[in-house]
Amino acid sequence: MYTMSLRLKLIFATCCLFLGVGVLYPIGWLIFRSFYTPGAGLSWDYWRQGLQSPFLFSALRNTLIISISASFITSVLGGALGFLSAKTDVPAKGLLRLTALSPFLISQSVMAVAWVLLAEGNGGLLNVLLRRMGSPITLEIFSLPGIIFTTVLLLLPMTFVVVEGLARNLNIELEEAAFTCGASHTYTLRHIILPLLLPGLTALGLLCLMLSNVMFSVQGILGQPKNIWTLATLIYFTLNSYPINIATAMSMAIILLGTGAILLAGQQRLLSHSDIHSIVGKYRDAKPWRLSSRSKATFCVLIVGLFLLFVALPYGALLFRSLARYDVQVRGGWGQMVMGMNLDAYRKAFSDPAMVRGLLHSLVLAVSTAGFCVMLSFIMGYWVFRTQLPGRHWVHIVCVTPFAFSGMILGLAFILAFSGRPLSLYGTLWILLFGYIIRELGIAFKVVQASLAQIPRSLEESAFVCGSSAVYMARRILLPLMAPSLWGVALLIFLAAFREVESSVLLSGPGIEVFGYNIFIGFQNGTWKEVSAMAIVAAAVCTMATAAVALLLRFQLSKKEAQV
Amino acid sequence: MWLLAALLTGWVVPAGAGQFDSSRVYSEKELLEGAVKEGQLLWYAIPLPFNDVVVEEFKKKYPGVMIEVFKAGGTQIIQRFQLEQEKNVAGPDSVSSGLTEAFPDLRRKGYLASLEKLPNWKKRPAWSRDSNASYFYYANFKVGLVYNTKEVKDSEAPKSYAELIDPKWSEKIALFDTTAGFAVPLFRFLIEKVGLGWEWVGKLKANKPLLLLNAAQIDETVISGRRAMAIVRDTEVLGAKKKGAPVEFRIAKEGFMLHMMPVAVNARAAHPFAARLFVNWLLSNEAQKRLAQEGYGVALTMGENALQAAGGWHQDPEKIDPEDTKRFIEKLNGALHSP
Repeated sequence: MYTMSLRLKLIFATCCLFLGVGVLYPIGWLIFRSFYTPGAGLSWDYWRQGLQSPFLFSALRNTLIISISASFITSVLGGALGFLSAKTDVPAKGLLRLTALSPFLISQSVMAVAWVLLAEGNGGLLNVLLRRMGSPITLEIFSLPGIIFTTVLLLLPMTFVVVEGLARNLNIELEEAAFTCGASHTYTLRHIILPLLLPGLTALGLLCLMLSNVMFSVQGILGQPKNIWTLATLIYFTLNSYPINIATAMSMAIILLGTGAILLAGQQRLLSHSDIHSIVGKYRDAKPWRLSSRSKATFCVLIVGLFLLFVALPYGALLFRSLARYDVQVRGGWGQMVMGMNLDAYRKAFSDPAMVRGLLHSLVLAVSTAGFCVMLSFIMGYWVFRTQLPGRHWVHIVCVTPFAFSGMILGLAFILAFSGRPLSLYGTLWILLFGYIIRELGIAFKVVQASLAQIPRSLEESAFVCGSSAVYMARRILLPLMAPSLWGVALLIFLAAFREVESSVLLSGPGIEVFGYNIFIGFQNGTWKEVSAMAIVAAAVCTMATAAVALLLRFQLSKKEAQV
Repeated sequence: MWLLAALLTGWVVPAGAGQFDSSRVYSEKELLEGAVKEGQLLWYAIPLPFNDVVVEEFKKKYPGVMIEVFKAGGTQIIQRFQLEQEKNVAGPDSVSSGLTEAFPDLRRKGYLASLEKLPNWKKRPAWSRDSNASYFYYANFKVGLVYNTKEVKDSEAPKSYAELIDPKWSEKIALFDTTAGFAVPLFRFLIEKVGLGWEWVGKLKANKPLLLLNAAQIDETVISGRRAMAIVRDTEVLGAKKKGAPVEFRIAKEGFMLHMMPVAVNARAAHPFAARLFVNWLLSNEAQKRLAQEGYGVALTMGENALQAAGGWHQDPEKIDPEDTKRFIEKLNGALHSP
């Protein structure tokens, strides 16, 4: 048995302290504040009020419908697309990746706005088009299916990236053995590939369930206009209705947090029974599964269709809105709609110092968040899943708890925890960085968990037997094997932090504006033209980051192949 | 290094605080001298184009005092300010928001400074000043009906709130959600003051209005023609009309409500001179004359009687009974928001 060095124990202890301060301390404030209001003292009344809300039942029901449907559809669709990209010779792979990743390039609220522009029952561009074509069909984005659809769009990139990474790392010897024994592709998929991917897929499904629970922006923009309540919108409503009742909102947030904890416990139980390792010591690139020409044609049509739905339509709507006159009439005829197009919104975006400052701040914060999250999750993941140190189960729970936070609640909890003594970060970029890291750490941790689950312990044990230190072993064995997944999750975290809106609104301040805050202000102002232009700029920045990571991965892959 | 650590952990009080004597009466000149020494002030305000005009004019008048604005939604400003005060963070020097109901509560908690000793305090009519001298309404906006002229002809557009329940306007109306700053006082005005009653709310709901999160989004919806009409305040609509948008704003037959914008000074302002100079300037005839040129709301020279004679009403937040308001909001939510 490998004996852990003091240095490693100290690193674990530092990470533990970081987690305690970043997660438990704000949650402590959240719980305290759900019972306490300055001037009124301690009381159970806030909980009673929360539980007696007339909209609570419909909010819970809608939350369940949205999260279960969205996570199921996302897992299936994202899983299938990720698998197709990683393991088959499906045509138009570049288009497939672009399709699956592009929804992640813009924030939740902007995606919701894009679909309002397209599919609002009365004056959405698609509905105008359908009516002109004489179609009796009317699309309505302000509906439960509309919310589920938009949620699926926003969750898809995460499932795609993770499944693609997992599928690439699968032990090809197993599938080759199956083919040698005469197994068909379908049989191999069902009996070899799916069981190997199951831990990752289960983790992802539950992750999507939790994330869809707290997607306030989508639920607020698309649900509230037609009285579709969810827990997240109910919390917003309680926080924003007079008299502002922070305590009752906090009590509801704790209910949401508790739901997340139950889901996590369920996931843990499921994963604890799985003992399938899909990576072995020998590396060999797998030959892609050859699809029949009929399958290729079918998938090609499907990919183009998805590209239209996921990329061309929402980005087209945003581009159109950013260029069109600010008072463009959606029912005024195509000629009128394109007349007077201009670049005013872009000029404004680049000439406003607050906007430029926000862009720079967001870039720095997003890069730092991605770096810290990957590093922390790797250390924590190793501690939890590869050591017998006491308290590792608690570390696991604490790492993933912030999933159940909505950005708004995280922002409030952080203001309570980190403004004033003893730790005053309020009004500095540090509070934003800290908040982003805590919010995104769960995603990184889950990916590390899924990635480690595929690597057999025998590889590390061999290294230790040969006298390697833990750091050397991590550098030479674990990190290279986990690299595709880690780069993937770093990219996801970069994109999420860059476009984060909800907690940024509360945590940013004068002089420390971030991109998400500027988007929110544009949204508050009703200046959709400017918001659309900012979203296009953000998408361009995020596309460049994605391309950089893709190039890096390609370079690594070619290096690996050369080594082999 | 130690200084940086101390600043980060909040052990050092920013320069400027503590030099102001709240029991003294300062002349405008003294306020300016103090403000120039402080050099800056931070104002929390909602993102209205009108507030950009306020900032520009203040900069022109006092170039030696840098004004920084942190913009957020009205409710978010109040949430943020309350939490900052609870946690003893200095926060803004001056704060404003459209959520008028919150200001008496902020005063009672001791978060707002007294403005009584400001040189210009009594220059504005009594209805625009808090009777406890902790805030005043630096701006107000008329609430009325807006319609898209490409969607509805001028002659057919509703002239009163009562007409909005006509089934011909089904799915054509945009309304604000009850979380919008002026929603509750407006419905109070319509239901209780004008006497349209709860039955009217029920029939309005039957017309399937689109409930949006804030006034600006409603304007965007009407300007683009996705909904034909709405109840909104004048500021954004008249601004859009000036730019050529096909919208028309009209005061309904039943009269109009004023959406008031209170401004106050933080009792623990880091720049107390600059904060008072700013509010004192907003109280001045010069500032009000310039802001009135924007053409929104009513001029802050009108007496209470003249305002009532013009059909205007505004809610005095000091007279609000919190329990009664809570019950009203619950009933309104039930009528407007039930699935």
